[in-house]
Amino acid sequence: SADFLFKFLVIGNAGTGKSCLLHQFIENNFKDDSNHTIGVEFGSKIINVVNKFVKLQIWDTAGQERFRSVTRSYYRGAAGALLVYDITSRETYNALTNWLTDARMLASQNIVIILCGNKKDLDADREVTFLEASRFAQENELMFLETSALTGENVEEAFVQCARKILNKIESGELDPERMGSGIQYGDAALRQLRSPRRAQAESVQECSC
Amino acid sequence: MLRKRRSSSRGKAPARGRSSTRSNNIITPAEGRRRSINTPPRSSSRTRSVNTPPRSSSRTGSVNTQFRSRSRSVNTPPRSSSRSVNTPPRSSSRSRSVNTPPSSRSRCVNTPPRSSSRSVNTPPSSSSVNTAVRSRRSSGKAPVRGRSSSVNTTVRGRSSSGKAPVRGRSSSVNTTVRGRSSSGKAPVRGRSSSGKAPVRGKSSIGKAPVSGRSSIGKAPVRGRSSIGKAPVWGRSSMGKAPVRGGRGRSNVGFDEFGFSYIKRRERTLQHRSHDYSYPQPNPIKVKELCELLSYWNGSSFICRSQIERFIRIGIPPALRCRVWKCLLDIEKVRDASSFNYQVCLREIRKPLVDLSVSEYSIISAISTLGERENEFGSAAAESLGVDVALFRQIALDLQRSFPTHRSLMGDSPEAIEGQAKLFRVLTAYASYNPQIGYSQGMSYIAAVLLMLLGEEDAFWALVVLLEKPKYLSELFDSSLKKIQHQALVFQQLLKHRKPQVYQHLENLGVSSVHFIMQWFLTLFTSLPCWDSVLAIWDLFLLHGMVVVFRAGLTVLQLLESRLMSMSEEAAVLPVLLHVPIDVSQYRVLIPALWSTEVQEWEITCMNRLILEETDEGHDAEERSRNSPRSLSRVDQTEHRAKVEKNEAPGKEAVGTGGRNVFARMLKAAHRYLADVSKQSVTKISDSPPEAEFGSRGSSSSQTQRRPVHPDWNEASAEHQESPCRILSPGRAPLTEIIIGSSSSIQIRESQLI
Repeated sequence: SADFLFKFLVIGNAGTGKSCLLHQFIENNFKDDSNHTIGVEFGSKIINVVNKFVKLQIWDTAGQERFRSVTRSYYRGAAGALLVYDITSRETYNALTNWLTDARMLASQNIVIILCGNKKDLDADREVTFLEASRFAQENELMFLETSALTGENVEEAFVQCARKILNKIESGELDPERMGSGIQYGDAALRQLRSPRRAQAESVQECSC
Repeated sequence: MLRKRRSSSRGKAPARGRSSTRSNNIITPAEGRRRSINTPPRSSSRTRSVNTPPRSSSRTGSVNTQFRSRSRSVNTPPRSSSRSVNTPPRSSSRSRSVNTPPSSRSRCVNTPPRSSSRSVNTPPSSSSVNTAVRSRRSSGKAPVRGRSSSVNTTVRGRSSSGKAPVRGRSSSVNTTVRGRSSSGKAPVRGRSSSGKAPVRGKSSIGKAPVSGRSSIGKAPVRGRSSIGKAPVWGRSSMGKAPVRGGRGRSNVGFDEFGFSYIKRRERTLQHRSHDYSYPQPNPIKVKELCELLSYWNGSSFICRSQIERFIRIGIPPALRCRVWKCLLDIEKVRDASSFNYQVCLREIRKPLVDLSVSEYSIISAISTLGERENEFGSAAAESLGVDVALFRQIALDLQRSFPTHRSLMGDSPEAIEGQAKLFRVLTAYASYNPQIGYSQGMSYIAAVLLMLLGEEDAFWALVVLLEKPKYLSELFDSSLKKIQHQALVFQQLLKHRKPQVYQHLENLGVSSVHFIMQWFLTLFTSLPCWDSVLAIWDLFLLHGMVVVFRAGLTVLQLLESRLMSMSEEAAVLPVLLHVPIDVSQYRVLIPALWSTEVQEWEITCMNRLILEETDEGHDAEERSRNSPRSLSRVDQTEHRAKVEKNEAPGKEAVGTGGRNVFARMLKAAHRYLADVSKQSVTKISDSPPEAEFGSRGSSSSQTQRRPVHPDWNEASAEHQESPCRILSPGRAPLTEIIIGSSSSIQIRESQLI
């Protein structure tokens, strides 16, 4: 019953809370006894974005460096990605450049990436300031949000904003869902009613910091 | 009536008198407010009080701890109305609950009449101090345990011995007090809000480390009173009762394998099943097995075929430790190796001290290591002689490997010890084999070993598993190439055995690597039924890698109808990544596993095929579609048509020399047999490989300790067969027959090679 189907990727260093973000998004609660991910985890959810039902297929990857070679195979055909770091760990923030390089190289040109500074609830231990990260996001043309998988703050927003931006791109014609490897498919509903060429509104961009 | 009951209970716990000589007095001023938790485990025949003002009768230990976190006073006046301690009677124990006002000596005892639950349920808002006391007079030990959701403490005691450990924990303050009057240890643990302020102190009793953590924003409201409603846990037929513990949850118990029960509310999310269906061991068989183990000889064919018989019946959990030790030949490996685990730990300790990190406070270790990593950068860290990133990665994964197992879950003393052990084993392995170091997934394997074996044995077992080609060697290397290769091999196996499933997955775009990584790298420990996991491990330890393929194939066979009815990747993958309980149950999965035959040579042949294909740069799928094996397995006519259809393009693709697949399969089989016969020759003439197993790395320098077996090194894993592989029953007759007629092949093959 979805209009579109987007393939999403969750990437970032180990221990930044990628799986917890996904779990929070899908189940709406925090998984405090979570296993570390080996290879890949998978989740899907239908969300409503700008009156469209979008089914997200989310691939949650392992964070350790040596799994990078496997993670790379998932970039192909991803429409969006959540690039996650831990605001209490500068090291995970420093690694962002590497992750971005991978994503830019291996994913499709039009992949929409949102930067997520996770563990927002641990503000007392913060090592990466909001300003610094949002500057990094602007420089690299990323959307940016600080999230908390524990409290659920901004978790849904991160996925929704990413999806919204992709929809905008589709509507503005920048992205062609029918192109192979775009990570986007038409759902059943969309096949019935052809896409309405509404003007891309800047509302999604207003909400995020870039 | 309450009073009467209590006094009778006092009279029945005489042996606690010993512990009354010692007590811990922990006073924790925090942010101006003063909290004092005094736990005199002086469980004399009369009383025990968990919360008493500092002027209590404690004489010995006193630990003062500064907490950064906000805290709540523990000493609060009791309101008897808010108390609800629910301690159901169990057959072997008497249960009582005592409500203890901190400032007075008088206590009320509340025993709910015949409740079926064992949980201590207290309204979280309650400010009272509740102490539930259970005593077991029949047993020889007298642990006294306390836990509380706010300020409530359960004290459990078994009388009539000199031991009287006391435990206390709370979700808000998280204080665990364990005192053992005989040993005099009383570690008190908790976590501070940042997790960075562990304070350790030594009291005059002995050890009394204290650290603190307040659960920020997390403090789950647990322990709503549900008298008489608590689920009955555990298999009563096993005669084992769930044991209390966990992370500040009042409704947590553990099953017989040590996995925690989670409250009903969270059941939908629960990963582990606690409904075990492994067969009850027959006492006669158990005796036979014990006998077999007493004269066990790892290289004996008879022993191995015998043990396979027992594995088929089902290894009793109590004997599994011995069986595994025998199958892995840990003793031999350790004796043959010059690597010394204890020495290695001492070497690791130095840099850890330099970094001011302790494996006993993992949370703070993670952040400290993170800071150090930032400060030094990778270059400076190397100058220290350690890999800070490695330590940090290991520390990160400790609490994320079997997070619901009692030995690793939360911050109970048992879990802290368990995590420390796991840390030591993994760091020791990383220094044993620095080239592989630590990879995610290893911690699951090491943790399983630690559940059954002692620390050092577990280390050596891990070494055997990760180094022997028969098991997981090279699977965790830094490029993870081999596992991706194994995924292709599995795909081939699936294609031959279950072509429909293979085709279906192919059509949906599900690549085998997605689920194979998890299945293989964690050795199926993600299956929800632990008895099945252990049964797979039993067989795996006997036969090696082929069992993993076999188990994978079995799972897919069992899931076949379900998978075939699914029409999208998004539906298939979750089922494969989280195999449903009904499929992974022992009574379903294990019989199916035994009836699924996967032969060593099958895997080897497919391995060769994949290797050849990747070497020649051909598409892997085209090849094996023409493979003769599929003919025997599936509908003949259908496949003949397929083969005919694909014959021509296949030949075109091969190009080089025009060899057909059959010839290559034959060649691969020949090569395998040649290897086998060569090995059987060397086996007779040479010393068994096990003797050489640990012989390398005699120098003390770490870099030279690269633990590669001289034999294992020179050829790829699939060439290298350990003798036990050949001897494995079931396939032995087959290979023997062929070996007999393959001497000429051997010559030809050696010329080819």
